[in-house]
Amino acid sequence: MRGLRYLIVMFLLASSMMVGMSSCDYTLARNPKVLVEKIAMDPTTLNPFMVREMSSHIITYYLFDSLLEYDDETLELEPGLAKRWEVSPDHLSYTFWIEEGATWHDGKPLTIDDVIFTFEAAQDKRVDAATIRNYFKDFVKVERVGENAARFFFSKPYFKAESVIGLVKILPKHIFKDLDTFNTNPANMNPVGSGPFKFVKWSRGERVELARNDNYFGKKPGVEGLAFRIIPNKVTAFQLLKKGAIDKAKISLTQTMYQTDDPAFKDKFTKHEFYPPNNTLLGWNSKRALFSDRRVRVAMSMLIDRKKILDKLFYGKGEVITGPFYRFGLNYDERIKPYPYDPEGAIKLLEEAGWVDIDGDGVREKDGVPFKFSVLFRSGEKFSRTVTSYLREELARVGIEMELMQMEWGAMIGRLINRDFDAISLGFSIPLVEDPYTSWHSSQLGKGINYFGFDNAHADELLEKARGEFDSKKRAAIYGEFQKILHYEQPCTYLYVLSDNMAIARRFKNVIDYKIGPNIEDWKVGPWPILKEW
Amino acid sequence: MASYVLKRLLLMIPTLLGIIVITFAVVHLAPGDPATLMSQSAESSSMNEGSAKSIVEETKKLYGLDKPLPVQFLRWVQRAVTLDFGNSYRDHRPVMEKIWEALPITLLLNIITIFIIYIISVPLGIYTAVKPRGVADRVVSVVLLVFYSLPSFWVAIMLMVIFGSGDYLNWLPITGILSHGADKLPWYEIVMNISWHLILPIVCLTYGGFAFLSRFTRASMLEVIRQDYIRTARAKGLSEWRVIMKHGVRNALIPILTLMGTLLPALLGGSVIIEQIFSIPGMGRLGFESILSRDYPVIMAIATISAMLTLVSILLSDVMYKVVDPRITFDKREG
Repeated sequence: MRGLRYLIVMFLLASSMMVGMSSCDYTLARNPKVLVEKIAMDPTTLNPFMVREMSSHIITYYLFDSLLEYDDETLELEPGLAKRWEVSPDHLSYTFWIEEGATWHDGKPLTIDDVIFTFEAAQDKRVDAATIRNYFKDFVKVERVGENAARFFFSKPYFKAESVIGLVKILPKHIFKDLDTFNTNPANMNPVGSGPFKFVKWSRGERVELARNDNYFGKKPGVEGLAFRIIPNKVTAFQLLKKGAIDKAKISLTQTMYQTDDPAFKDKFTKHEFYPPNNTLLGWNSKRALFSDRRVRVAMSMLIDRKKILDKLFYGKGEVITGPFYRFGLNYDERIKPYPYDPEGAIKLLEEAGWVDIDGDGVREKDGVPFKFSVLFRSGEKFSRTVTSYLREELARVGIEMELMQMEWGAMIGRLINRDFDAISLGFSIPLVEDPYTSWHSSQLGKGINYFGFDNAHADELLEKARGEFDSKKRAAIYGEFQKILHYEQPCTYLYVLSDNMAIARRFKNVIDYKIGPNIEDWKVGPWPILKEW
Repeated sequence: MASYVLKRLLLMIPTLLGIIVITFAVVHLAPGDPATLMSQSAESSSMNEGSAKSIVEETKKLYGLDKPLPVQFLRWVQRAVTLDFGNSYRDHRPVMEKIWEALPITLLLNIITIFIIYIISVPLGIYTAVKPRGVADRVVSVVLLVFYSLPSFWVAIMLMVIFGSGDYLNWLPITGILSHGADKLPWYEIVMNISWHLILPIVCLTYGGFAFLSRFTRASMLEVIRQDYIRTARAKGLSEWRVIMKHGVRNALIPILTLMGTLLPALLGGSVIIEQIFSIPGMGRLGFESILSRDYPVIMAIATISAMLTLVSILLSDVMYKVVDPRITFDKREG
């Protein structure tokens, strides 16, 4: 009997809890003029110099301005904080005039001193910004010219110098006085910027909030604020989107094709497709005996049915590519066609290169060494797993044994940097001002990012020549030449540029589908449904 | 007793040192290092231009990672003895600050979870022990076994889809522990808001825990019930309720009480899976993200603190034995 009493007490407790929950109003309405989007991890910093991962990058992009900006459509540089700029005839000095009337979010005017401070800080070894410094190897100095201009000097003419200067985010000098404390300055967590949005609040691990900067000198955005919710799990993010707690999120290919076609979803969201500059590839380590022969590498490319994999496994949402450049950019040479899927041709090439199955065990050998290797890719990454599994079958059929080697991200990058791999499946994000020098020049073999051991004197020459060519059309022609060599040599097999799919809440209007991705600053807020804060 | 505790406390020092040395070695010798990882974004699987060896080497120098391991270790110990665990490599913030932020959230979750597990499984264990192998006992054990076997990541996502997505029922929030802006509500509404958020995570954290504790209670109870003094109590003509509750349960609870000592480290360690799925910024997520980004100072701090708590809790449960059961003694002479 007492057991029953215990049960009754428990039941009463639970039900009073339920009554309490349904009677008082503890839910809140959500401000429809604020765009809520998802980021995967807590940002590490909101100082644009120290940014290393996506979350921080996305947020600081809105908080800080640079001297120049990209045009989302043409991908050309256009004025940002600098209203105009001039290049000296010898291409060694660059003068930028800054916009008067630009202010920091704390109300102080943004002056040329801030610009000069920014570039001096970037050079200082105490500052945790090795990635930025890497672009400033030929930079000599910056000096003030008159009231609101600065002149930058370089030791070598380089076509990218303009964008190297132009795209550095300008920092407030009055906040970062002392470079000794730059890395630990409280403003790294509580930033004062000059961009179209200003910082409001950062709830660790949960949310970062920005509000529209109403004193912005440029075009003011249509949304009143941005909120970034930190959602590490992809499934959770998708559920949150569907329940109406976030307004914009990337959705996977499967979700795009199968899980977002119901009327309830279409009622709330529009779907968009973008092609961000990101090339996927399979790299062959030419410094290893197996792949030192060009014929072997080409045979590899001929054994991957790139078109079929794309159509069957990725719903045709992408394009097969042949070179290191952005598929929809100026430098990509469309005349180069991918090696066709041709197992017969591949076998011929392999046999020419001396790989023949002599002992009849089903695996080709050369000088007694069987053709066995492993391909490295990031564990849990679906794209690489799909492509490499497919390739393994294909290779087994022609007498090559390939082992799939999944590795955790940190371990895998370590292997890549130390060139400790046979083959690797990778994606490469391409900067919008492209210079393949860093990836393919022979000077970058050891400490640079020429990972696959590509070493070609003619290609070196072209890459050097392109660095001093300031006419983008002529440069594209040089790069066309370079792509031909790269295509002939096949240090890696370029695979695809794949689509990024995104769902955006319907209340946002004027969403323009640029190839590289959407720009929130264009958007306006239309009529909205009732929104709840979850 | 006092000398025993003192001896145990002194023994903890070399044990702790051993744990730290091993952890430090494992963490630093594992492939991948923070400087390499910092050159890349971990979210997308795309490389950018940042991962040149020269950049990585410069970053290593900045963090002192270019020094030999023993030097790094001594430096770390030197600071750690004053409980200064340094700054995180990931965001340059003091490690203790990060832990203090994550700790209350995990504590809240764990205290509620453990409370619910105890309040449900102990009575359940007693109930099933009174009539062993009866229908109720069998039903309960099957149900609990099923619960115990369900993987929490699957259950979490299922519950989320059913109760929290727009597809079926849109009743419950599925992320965090408080709605945005809810901190301005009156206190009782904040409590309601938090409970509303905690329903799903707490369900996922508790359901698997019933099986162990209720079976444990049942076994302990069964053993007690077979004792002579229970038969004596029955023979005295006491009501069954009194026999079970007063003579049975009191004795059966001894091992369960000592089990509580081991809860101390468990309170601190968050559940990585549940915290990831429900986007709760607790200790589990902090630890997981630190390991992914090879944030050595944070990993070391968490490892050291939990090692310390584990050692203390082991000592505590030993002492608890003595406290709840006067028959046990630590000093040979007394025995």
